[in-house]
Order: sequence, then C-alpha cells, then structure tokens
Amino acid sequence: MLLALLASPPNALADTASKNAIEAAFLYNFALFTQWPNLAASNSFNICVLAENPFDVAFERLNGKQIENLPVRTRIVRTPEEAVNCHILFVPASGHRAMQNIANTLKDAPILIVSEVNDYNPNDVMIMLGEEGGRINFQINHSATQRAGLNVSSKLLRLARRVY
Amino acid sequence: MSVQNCSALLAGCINMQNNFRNWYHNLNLRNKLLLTNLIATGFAVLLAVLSMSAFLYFSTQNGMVNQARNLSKIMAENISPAIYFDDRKTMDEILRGMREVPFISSATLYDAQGTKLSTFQRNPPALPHEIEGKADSLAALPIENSFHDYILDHTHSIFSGTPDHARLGTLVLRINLSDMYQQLAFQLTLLIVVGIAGFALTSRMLLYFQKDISEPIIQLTKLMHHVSMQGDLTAHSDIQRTDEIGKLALGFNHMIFEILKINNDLNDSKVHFYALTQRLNALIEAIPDAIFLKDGEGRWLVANESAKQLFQLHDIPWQGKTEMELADLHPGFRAMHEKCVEDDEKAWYARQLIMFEENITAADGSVRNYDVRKVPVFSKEGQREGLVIIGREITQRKKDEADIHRLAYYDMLTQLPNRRLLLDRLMQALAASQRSQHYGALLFLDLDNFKALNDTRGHDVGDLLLIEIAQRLNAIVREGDTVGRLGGDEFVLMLENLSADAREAAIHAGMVSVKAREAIARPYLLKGIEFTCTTSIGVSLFFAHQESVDDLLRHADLAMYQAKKDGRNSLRFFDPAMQAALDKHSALEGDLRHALERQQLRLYYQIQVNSEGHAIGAEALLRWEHPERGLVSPAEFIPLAEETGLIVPIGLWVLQTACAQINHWSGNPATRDLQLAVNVSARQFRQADFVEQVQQVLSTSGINPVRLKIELTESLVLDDVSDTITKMRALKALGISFSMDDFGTGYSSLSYLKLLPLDQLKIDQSFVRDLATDANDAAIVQAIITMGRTFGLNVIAEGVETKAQQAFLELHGCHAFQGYLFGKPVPPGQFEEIVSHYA
Repeated sequence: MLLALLASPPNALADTASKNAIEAAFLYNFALFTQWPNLAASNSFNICVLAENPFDVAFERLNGKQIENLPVRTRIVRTPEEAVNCHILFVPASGHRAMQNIANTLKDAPILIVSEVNDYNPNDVMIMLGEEGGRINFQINHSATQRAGLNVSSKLLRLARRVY
Repeated sequence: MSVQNCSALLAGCINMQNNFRNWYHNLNLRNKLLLTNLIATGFAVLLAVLSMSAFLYFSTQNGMVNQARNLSKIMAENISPAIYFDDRKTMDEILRGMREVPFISSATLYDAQGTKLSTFQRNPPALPHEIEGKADSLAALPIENSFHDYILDHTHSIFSGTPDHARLGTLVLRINLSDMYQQLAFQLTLLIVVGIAGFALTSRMLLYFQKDISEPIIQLTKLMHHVSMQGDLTAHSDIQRTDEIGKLALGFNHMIFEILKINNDLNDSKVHFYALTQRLNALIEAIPDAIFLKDGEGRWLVANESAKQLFQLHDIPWQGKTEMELADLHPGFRAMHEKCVEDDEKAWYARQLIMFEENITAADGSVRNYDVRKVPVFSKEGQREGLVIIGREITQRKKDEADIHRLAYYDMLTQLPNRRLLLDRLMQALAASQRSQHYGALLFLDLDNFKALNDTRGHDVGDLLLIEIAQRLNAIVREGDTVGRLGGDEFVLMLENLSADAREAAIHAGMVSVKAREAIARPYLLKGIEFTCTTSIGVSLFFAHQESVDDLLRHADLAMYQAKKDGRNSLRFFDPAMQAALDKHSALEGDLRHALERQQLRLYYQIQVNSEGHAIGAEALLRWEHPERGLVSPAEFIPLAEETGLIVPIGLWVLQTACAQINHWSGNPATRDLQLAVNVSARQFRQADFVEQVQQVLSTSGINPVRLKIELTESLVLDDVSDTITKMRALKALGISFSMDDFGTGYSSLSYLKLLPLDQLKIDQSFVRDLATDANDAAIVQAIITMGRTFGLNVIAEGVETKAQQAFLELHGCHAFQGYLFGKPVPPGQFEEIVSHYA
C-alpha cells in the first residue's frame, strides 16, 4: 500500500530501494493532483519509466491502483516515441541523455514528464524531483504543463520547491 | 422523615400559602399593583437575561465549533497534499496559519498511525493540558469535540482524494474557551445592566400607569370613607376621565347626589313625620275616650289623658309594663288589669276587632259603663304586634237609654208596663202560645167610679189609688204574667200558658179575674180616709195567632163594657161560649160548696185481689151525686175542689168515711182483713196539722191503722220532699202504710224513692192498658216491678181489664191487681157482694 509505503519508512532516503519507492509514490500522487485533457479516451492510466532495463519493483507496485477510475499500468519505454501513449513519463537520472530528444519529440503532448534532478535544461521537464536533507522535493515547470494542456493543481504547485 | 412531619410540613406550606394569600388580599391597591408588576417585570427580565445568556453561550460556542470545523476542513484540504508528499515544512506553515485565529490555542497533525507530524502552539501555552499520547483514541474518532474546563478539542480526520478514501491523518484543533467565557461574562454583565435598567424603566413606567389607575381609586375610596364616616353628602370626586375609572367617579358622584336627594326627602319626611306624630299625639291626648296601645307582649306603650285619669296613672310608671305588673303596682285596679289580660286574649284569638261593654269602678268609686273596642295588630308573619284599646264611657248613654226605655215602655205613675210594652209582650205571648199550643187570656180592668173619686178627692189621691191597685194586681199574678196600665183607670192583665183546653183556660182566667176583683175590692186607706173601689173586667182568650193584637184588645175592651153594662163589679168574657163555661163552672163551684153539707158526696170501693184470686183490699174513690146533673166525674170536680180549697174539708170527710167503713168491715170475716187505700190530695197533705187530723180520725173511729193505706202521687212527693218524708214517717209510726200512686208517670227520682217509707208501688193504668201492644209500656212495667222488688216494695197494677194483662203482670212478678176484670168501683153494699166472690 502506498501509504504504508510512504509511511514506513517516512520520507527519508535510506537507500535506493526506498528512494525508488518514494519516487513511485510521488508519481502516483502527482497523478492525483493533475488533470489530463485526453484521459477519457484511455483504457488505462499509463505510467512509463524511460529505462534500458526493468527499472524497479516499486513502480510495478503501482499497478492495480486507479487514477480517475482508470487502472494504473506501468511500463518501460526505451525511446521517446514509445512514450506517446503514456500519461506520466518518469525519466530517472540515467535517462538524461535522451532528455533533449524527449522534449522535442513529445513537445506539447499531454504527458507529464517527471525527471530526477540533473544538469539538463529544466525547461525540458515538467516536474523535477530533487533531494534535500534526506528528503525528496520537487520543482514544477508550470508553463510547460500549461502548454501540454495539463492542469496541475494549485495544491501541488504550493508544495513545489520552485515553480517556473 | 415521618408521615407526621411530612403532613405538618404540607400543612405549613398550605398555611404559608394561605397567609400569603391573605396578606396579598389585604394589601392596598397601590402596593398590590406594584408588587404584581414588579414580579411580572422581574420575571420577564430574568427570563430574557437567562435566555439571552444561554443563546450567547451556545451560539458563541457553536460558532467556534463551526469555525473550527470549517478551518479543519480547509486545513485538511490544504494539508493533505503535504501529507502525500510528507512535506513537514508546508505542514508547519499551514498549521501556523492558525496563528490568525485567536481562539485556536493549538493545532496538531497526526498521520494515519497517530504519529505527530506537525504542531502549532500558541504562545504562551494557554492551558496546562497538552494533547500527548492520545493518538490511538484520537485516531478512532473521525470528528469529535471534546470539552475540558476551558478548552474544546476539535478533531478532524483527513482522507485521501483517492477512490479508496484512505485516511491520511488527523487534525486536532484545540479551541480556547476562556476568551469566549470572558466575552460571555462581559455580555452577561451588559445584559444584566441592560436588564436592570429595563426593569427599572419598566417599573417606573408601570408605576406611572398604575398611579393612573390606583391613585383615583384610592382617592375615591378615601372620599367614600369620608362620606360614610362624616356623612358629608356635599363631597364629590373631581376625576374627569372617560375610562372606567372616570365612569366610576361619575357614578359615585351620581350616587352621592341620589343619596343627597333621598336624604333630603328623608329629612323632609322626618319633619313631616314629626309634625304628624305631634298632631296625632295631640289628637289622641285630646280624645275623651280612653285610649291605650300595647305591644305584642301586652306591654303598655301609650295611654292618653283620659286613660290616665280613669286609672289614676299619673303617679305610676306604667310605660312598658304588662297588665300583671301593673296589677302589682296598682292594687286598686287589680281586678280590672286581670280582666284586661283575659279580654286581650279574646281579641288576639278573634284576630279582629272585638267590642264589649264593661263596668269599670273609677278612682272615685263610681261605676262607669264603658264601650270597649280592642283591635289586634299582627305582623305579616302573623306574630302579635300590637293591640289598640279604646274605651268610650257610655254611663250617661246607658242611663239615658234606661230612662228612655222606661219612659217608652212603662207607666211613670205605677211603674207598670204601658200600652206599647203591653202590645209588644202580647205579640210575644201570641208567638209563645203558637209554640206551646196553650191558651192565654187578656183581662181588661176598668175601675168603677174612679172619675168620682178623682173629682171629689183630687188627682193626687186618685194617683195614690192607682199605685196601690198596681201593687195589688202585681201581687196576685203568677210570675210571667203581665200587669199593665193602658192609661187612666184602665189596667190590663195578660195571662199566659193557661191550658191547652179553652174551657179550662177560661175557668182559670175567670178565677184570676175573681182574685183581681177581690184584691181591688179590698178597702183602701188613702190619706187617712178609707175608700173602697170596684172594678169591671172583660176577658178575651187568645190562642196562637187566631186574632190580631188589636182585635184582642178591642174584644177585651168590649167585654169590659159588657161587664159595666151588666152592673159593674162583674166579669164578662168576650166569647159567649167561654162565658157559659165560666158560668157553669161558677155554678158547679157553688154546688160543690154545698155538696158536703147536703151529703151529696159518696165513697165507692174497688176491689184489689191477689194472684190466688183472694180479695186483699180496696181503693176508696170519691163520687159526687149532683141532684140535677147526676154522678159528676171526679176529673171534673176534684180540680175544682183543689182550686177552691174545698178539697181540704172534702179530704177530711173521705178519710173519716173510709175509717168508718173499715170499722164497719171489721165485724165481717170476709172484709175484716181488707186494707183500704185512700187518696190524699197535695193541698190536704200539705196542711200543717195533717198528721194530727189523721190521728184524730183514727182514734175517733177506733180502727186498726194497719187497715188504712194512704196513696200519694209522685208530684205531691216531689213538691216538698223533706216535708213529705217527715209526715210519712210520722204516719208510718201510727201503723199506716203508703202506696205510690200513678207510679211511672212523673219524673220519679230513684234517690227519693229510697228515702221514702213506702210500702207499695202502684203501676198506673195507662201502662197496663197497652201492655200487650206497646213494647215500651211492657218494658216500663217490667222496670217498675223490678224496682219495687229491689226496694222491697210490693207492686200493684191498676186498670187490669183482661186476663192477658194479668198473666203478663204475674209472669213478671206483680201479684196484686185492681181493675174492671175484678170489679168496678161500687157503693159499699155492692162491694161486699163482690168481695164474697173473692173470699
């Protein structure tokens, strides 16, 4: 369960596994505070992770949960093109090289692109997860989400470390 | 607590309640209204303050709770993302936002497991209670308000927006109520102040309005008190309003005015009444009649001057006294007072005016006649209320009346009834005659030669003669007969109840006339001179209303003139038949006078026998052998003999003859044992020397007195019982026996019968005659026989004419008989022959 996942351990990055679990929870929570314009046409709520290999079981745990009455489905995408049907695309730090490409490919598509912090152009991602004092935080590229037609809740915006 | 205590307490409560009610009832109007208003207003204000306080309390608290709830909701909404993302900083920030809500003293956020995530604590810590370690209990409650002394915890659960609505955590807001209480206290104070002010204001206003009601009423009350106490009817109320109080005041003034009017009328009436009373009193005082007023108990209330004079009341405290009290105070009038009580009762009983005449002996001893009227007065309920007594003196009137009566009805000279009274009495006598069926007679007397006396001796002598004659006439008549004077020398005698038989009545009237004539004929000594006077008498018989009074007088007058024509000093009847009867009677009387000396009288003897049929005796019966008229009936001449007194010598002759006969019989064996009964008349028996006469006859004849029996009649015996008894005893002592003749015809008194020394009762022939046919007679005969047996007397029956009569008498115990069955009264020679048949 997500809350159990969140709660134990709390938002403390004890190890990679727990960090992944928190990030998975974060992804799910982001979905809760965001509205997609095309969601009605979908059969499932797709959460995609850009990765070469199977990423982490923590993400798989999201399967079976629901967003807006749609079942959550997680999958690994290798190329930006594969990510067209995704609603959330998580780009771990390892996928930073493809970022520019992703941005261009998926430009203004209603896909919430969430990335781990890196030294790439923040304008290419919509939500950037960071880390401070052992706790995960995030920044939101509000203009990008608006361009993509995603409506991010002000509550989420309020929680963001930075909105730009 | 015992039942007694309980009931005592209850009684106390009731008592208190009653006391309060009484106290309240007796409060004056102003205080009562004031108290009522104060209680009502105070209660209303108190109620308002209380309800306002409660409202404030609950609304404030509710507001806080609602605010806390809303805040919780908003905060939960805001904080839930922070919980998602475990953003403590944001949590703190959001909780810190409570800073701006003054009544929130702290805000604490717990996660689903009850671990505190964030907290906000206002400084300084408001209250000692910290919410620590309560996560479990808090977690169990979705939303809850928990109160402590001055704090209120509001717990709000936070749920996820996800479809599973998972619980994210719990938010607890601690509300600090002390501010609210402070505020409440302030508000309450304000309310109380406002309440008191309102109360004061209301009371003041009520007082004002009450005054508007109570003051005039109190004023009116005082006024009324003043009027009733002082009787000041000029007082009036000045209140001028149109409401009920105004009407009350107006009504009061009207009432006073009406009372004033009535009072004035009353005063007028009093004055009038006083004047009236004075006049009436004066009137009553002035009335010459004696007037008394008494109350219902018979106490004297009023006595006027005449009354006071009559009873000498001036020095006696008579007022308010009853008759019996006055009788003691006034012993001289005791009898009068006592009689008055009696008369009063009569008036009360009659329930109306009663009138009577009373003789009152006045203070000076003179007897006065009073016409007394008593009028009882009763109350509506019928109780005795008073008695009015008016006594009018009628002494003079009575005297005048008597004088007038005397003048009107009596002759002043002789004091005899005058013509008017005589006529009146004659009328009455005719009516009486009608009733009694007896004849009466009117005798007209006229003096012969009275005119001559008057002319020669003067009127005064004539008057003296008339007076003398009146006295003489009065002396000869019976009581009930009337002597009157018609005027001049005319006198009238009215005789009543003479006889049922006209002839007898005529004879009687004639006898009275003779007496009157003889009385008048006696010499007079008038003024020293002897003088004789004769009179002529006219007689007219009257019977019922056969003739009128005037006719009667005229007839008597005519008869009188006839007498005068016949030569004065004589007597004439108006009716010739009556005259003839009288003449015959006079002739018979004359003859009877000579009968003895001419030896015309005889004794006849009738036999008496017993049941064995033996002669036991005889009754001697008198007979008169008249030379012209033959044998005269004893019924005709015996009364004549008695009237004329001839019965005395005749009776003596009878006795002597009877004794001679006994003497004669004594020589004959057949007759020597016979007892001879002789009838003795009353006049004879009443002679003072009757016993001596009998004794004389006995000794002269020398017979055995036992052979002589005297028969007496009942009427004779009863006429003078003591004299009869005395003489009978004396004769009885001589050896003579007695028989009661005609027994049963008179009113025999049994007690006398016992006293009389009788030997025999003789049953009258009238009873014996109808013995067979009349049950009454049979009963009487039986009674006589029984009576005789009771008194030890033998009984003889006379008039026995048949065997049946004899048988009946014998059957009932009568064993002696006399009658035609055995023999008629016969002369001595024949008698001895009859006796020989009954030897």
